[in-house]
Amino acid sequence: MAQTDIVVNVKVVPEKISIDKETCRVKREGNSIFNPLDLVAFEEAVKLKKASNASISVISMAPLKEKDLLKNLFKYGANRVILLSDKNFAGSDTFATSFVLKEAIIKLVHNFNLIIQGDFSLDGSTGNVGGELAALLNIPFISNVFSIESYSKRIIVKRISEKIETFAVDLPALISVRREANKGAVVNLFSLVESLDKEVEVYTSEMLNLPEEKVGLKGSLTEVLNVFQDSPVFERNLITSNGEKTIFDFLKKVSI
Amino acid sequence: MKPLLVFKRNNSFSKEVWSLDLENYFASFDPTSRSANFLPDKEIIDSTMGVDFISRIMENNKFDIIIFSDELIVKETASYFAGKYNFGLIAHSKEVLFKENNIIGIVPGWENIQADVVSASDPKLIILKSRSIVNLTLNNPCVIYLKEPTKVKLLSNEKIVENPLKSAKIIVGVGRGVERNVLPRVLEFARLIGAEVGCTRPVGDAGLLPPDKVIGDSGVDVSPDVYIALGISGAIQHIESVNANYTIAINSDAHALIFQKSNLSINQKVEEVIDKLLVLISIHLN
Repeated sequence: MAQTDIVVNVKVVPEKISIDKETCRVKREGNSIFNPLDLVAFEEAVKLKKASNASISVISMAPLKEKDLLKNLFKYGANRVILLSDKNFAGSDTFATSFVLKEAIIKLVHNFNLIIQGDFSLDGSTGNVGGELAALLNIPFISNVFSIESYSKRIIVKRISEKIETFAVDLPALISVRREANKGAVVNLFSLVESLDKEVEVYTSEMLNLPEEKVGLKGSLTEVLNVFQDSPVFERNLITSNGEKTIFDFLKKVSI
Repeated sequence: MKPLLVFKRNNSFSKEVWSLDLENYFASFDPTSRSANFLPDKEIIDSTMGVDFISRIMENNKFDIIIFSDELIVKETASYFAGKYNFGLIAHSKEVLFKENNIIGIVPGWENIQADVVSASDPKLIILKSRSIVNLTLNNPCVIYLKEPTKVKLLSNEKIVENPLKSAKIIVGVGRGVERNVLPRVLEFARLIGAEVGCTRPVGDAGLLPPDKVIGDSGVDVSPDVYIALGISGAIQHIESVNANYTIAINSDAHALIFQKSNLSINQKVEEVIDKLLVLISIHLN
């Protein structure tokens, strides 16, 4: 069997975000971290790599400054790390993001048969990219996966909805995983040595030959009109002492 | 404005959808539903089948807006549908506003940030929180005959034990403001008052309580009579999933957002209040 590629889409998210009250824009401050659920997906890919002849290509759309953070993924077992970075990508909604990811996968990862990612990202929580990307690639999509049972010509996965459903899915396919899938990636010592001479590959919009009108704000099909923070405006009826007595009196009426 | 409302079972959506005089049409993924104008002939098991269902409805009907519930198979279908036909999808909306023939989704984000989002496509697609069933009893639904998906096969279907948080009358919610050494006393307090224990996502992530105890976006939705929020800041992702008749909040931060949502607001240290409550309860029980 020819070597196949497992693609892991990894999003880099800010550790802390806040609102610029004057511009109503989100300010991304401080350190960046990997989206936690994407790391869960990455660990699943590492397990599949060990049990098969596959290699792992990580793809991330992020600013160039995240190159060092992404390089860490070599230590955990990534064979390739591809950073898609271009000022034209700024402002991409989930559709424009899915378009860029699709183009990168088709043009840069020739033998892919499985794409894994987290169910949603910490900052956006939309969970749209999985379905949109799978549709653009015309491959099946299963979300909320908590267990991968086998992986060969097809993949067998379990997911939780109203019931625990077990699916056999023809490859190539895209699956997104939920938190319980594993406990997160751990450093593989062999990969740690191998990673020393590996470099993150950086691709711009031009290098991927992407039409300007299909990426970033121009390629987006949704628009954010306004951003605001739901913050307390007043303090009301705060009980600052003997709160236990008030609660106890209330609970006596309803439970104990 | 003519919306198509797509759901499996939960068709409550938000009050805005029901309060406006819209020409609503309903499509359910459940072939046994009696609350839909459009039904599939068999249960929809994956997003390709879901997309086939919606596409077939759209062949003979024009809708301005398609509103999807946030049930798993329905929202999975929504994103696949958006990708297949290049439609702008507003996801994860907790409520909607209708303005001048447009729909605005109010989308909660991280750190209590919210965004007003619009779609530029026609029709406009939106995924909207929908938590309960409204019985409509619509007669003579149009049945759409679907093919089995070719690339996905459902091998088995096991019932899962319902999370006890779903039916709990009283829930004690644990947030980051509860220190690890205080947790055993919180569990004892919950046991004594007959409450289930839930937590926020950061508490679950830290391993203080198991993942099935997480209440919120990435956990379960709950509807207790009483919710006792301990050291919970009140992040949207958590609090939007709590539909309690009465909320008691204990938090040492006077500015905690939870105090905007609570009926009884105790601005004291969680440990201090719990310790004194344990004494009061044990005296009462003896």
